[in-house]
Amino acid sequence: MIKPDPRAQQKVFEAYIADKKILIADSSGTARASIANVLVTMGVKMSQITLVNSYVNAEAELDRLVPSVVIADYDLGRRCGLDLLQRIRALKPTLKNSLFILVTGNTSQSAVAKAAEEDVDNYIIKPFTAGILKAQLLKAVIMKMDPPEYLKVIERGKLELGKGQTELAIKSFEYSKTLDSAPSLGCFYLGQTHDITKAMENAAGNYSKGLEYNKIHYKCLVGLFENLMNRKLHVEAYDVIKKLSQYFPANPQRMTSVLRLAIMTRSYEDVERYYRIFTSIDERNEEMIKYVCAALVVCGKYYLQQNFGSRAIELFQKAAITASGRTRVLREIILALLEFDMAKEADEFLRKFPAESHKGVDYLAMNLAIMDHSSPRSLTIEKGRELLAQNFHDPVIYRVLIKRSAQAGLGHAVEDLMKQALLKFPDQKIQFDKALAAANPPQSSAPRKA
Amino acid sequence: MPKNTSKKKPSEKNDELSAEEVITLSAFESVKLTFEVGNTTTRTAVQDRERIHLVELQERGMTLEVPGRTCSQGHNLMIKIEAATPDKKTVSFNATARVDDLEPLPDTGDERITISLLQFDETGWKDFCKIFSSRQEAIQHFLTAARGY
Repeated sequence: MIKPDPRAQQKVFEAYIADKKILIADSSGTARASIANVLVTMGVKMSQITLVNSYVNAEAELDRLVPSVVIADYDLGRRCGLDLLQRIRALKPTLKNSLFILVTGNTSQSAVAKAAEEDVDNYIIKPFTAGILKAQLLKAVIMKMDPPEYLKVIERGKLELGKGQTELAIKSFEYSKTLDSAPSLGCFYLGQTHDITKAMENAAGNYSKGLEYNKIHYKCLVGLFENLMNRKLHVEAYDVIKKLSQYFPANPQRMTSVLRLAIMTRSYEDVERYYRIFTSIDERNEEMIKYVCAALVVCGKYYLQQNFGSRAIELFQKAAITASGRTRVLREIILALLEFDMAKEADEFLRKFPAESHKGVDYLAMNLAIMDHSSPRSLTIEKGRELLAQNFHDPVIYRVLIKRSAQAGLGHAVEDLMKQALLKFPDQKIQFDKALAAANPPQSSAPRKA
Repeated sequence: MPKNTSKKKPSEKNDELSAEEVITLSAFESVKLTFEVGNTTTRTAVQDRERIHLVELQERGMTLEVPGRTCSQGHNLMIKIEAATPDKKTVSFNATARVDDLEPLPDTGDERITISLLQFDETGWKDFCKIFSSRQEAIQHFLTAARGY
């Protein structure tokens, strides 16, 4: 291993960088120039350096140059500099001696955590000093060129694992644990090996051991979470995902997992708290919005079941606001309310459908479902038939028609409707059977004409 | 910043997190810098403050990106920088400075200037620089802990 002697380290750096192409991507001309100047003082030739001012230009140069060293800002216009890392990994799968370093004014924990998840080589904040930039670049190169024995053994183990030599890999990872005072990475790979051989409890034990050394070890946290989910230990998985989200907050995918597990573990109050925080976050994507709405609706349904109607309405209101006119969410709310005979409240949510959706099947189906609670049976049947004739096919329309037609004693019509419904929506058979059953409760009287 | 080692098992009760601890808004916030820059030589002030960026710190100076025609080499500036951290602390730094070097940036019309500080409070300068050096240290610590090496 290279001694921590500045001259020796500088020699290693010069040997590494001698033939390397370097891409600096930053929208600030000052930053590009400052970083390039530091590299030149470290022995890099300007001819090795390409400067770009945008994500698009960076992508083009990545494809053209396939540089070994990329230094990028986290924020590149509307794109994230980290996305360049994905691109370069695709272009240069071997990646052994490549470097990806972020130099950025984004000092937020979420950005740093996202960079850590992606395993960047370093994260340097602006304003930097030349001394810090040099030291961090050197450190990254030394780590690449002469990693500690601990990492070398882990790499060996990974190769062995890749070749299916499980026993040898286990030996390597066990040995690696003796080479570091906090061998969380070694524990992680042992865990992975046991996961592969389906020794799930052993795997979890290894991940947990890794977290004992280092409670924010990302790979161990993810490994443990996935292991617990595979074993359907949802309460324990929820604990782990909460920790993951605390330390690595920026991942929208993870936020949706947090919500899903909050529901699965019936931590309904947590859902409401997450909602409050989500409304303040700028980085909200479609998937996150979808999950937040779904979680609020599920919570609302829970409160309906517990007889807390006003609480449920509050949550449905929040879901409706977050949904911003997404009709599927409004639909779910209306159906939940109708299940508890709250037709008046359901009608309030029908009014939240955007005007342009009033000719759509979601609106029309919900309108019929609400009508079913308040209008005479004959009118409901007539309206339902009208919708089908206009080619609006929806499971709810069929359910309403099946139930009301059965109540009206229209045997043939019910048969035809069931056939049609099952053709269109075969996965809804149980619902259609329920609708039929609802029309013929055990104590019902003889069928009446429509 | 979380420490690298923990003797507690993750499942122990006092490790349980409340929802507010799981996702905190401050996690998404950066150190915010606001600038006031006046050219005391020409007696003009920079209006378009959003275009001022602090890129590099020297021992007694800094490199900034400023809007074009803010200054020329040799001009004196009055600088006030306010740094607001995610944990709601604010550090202000005021100084007069001289423009040592200026480079136009043709693609944006901005200028890259290197300034040396003339009159300033040493303690204030140290406190200001410490915001970034502390944050860098914390980031290194976090990266090492998160990666395990």
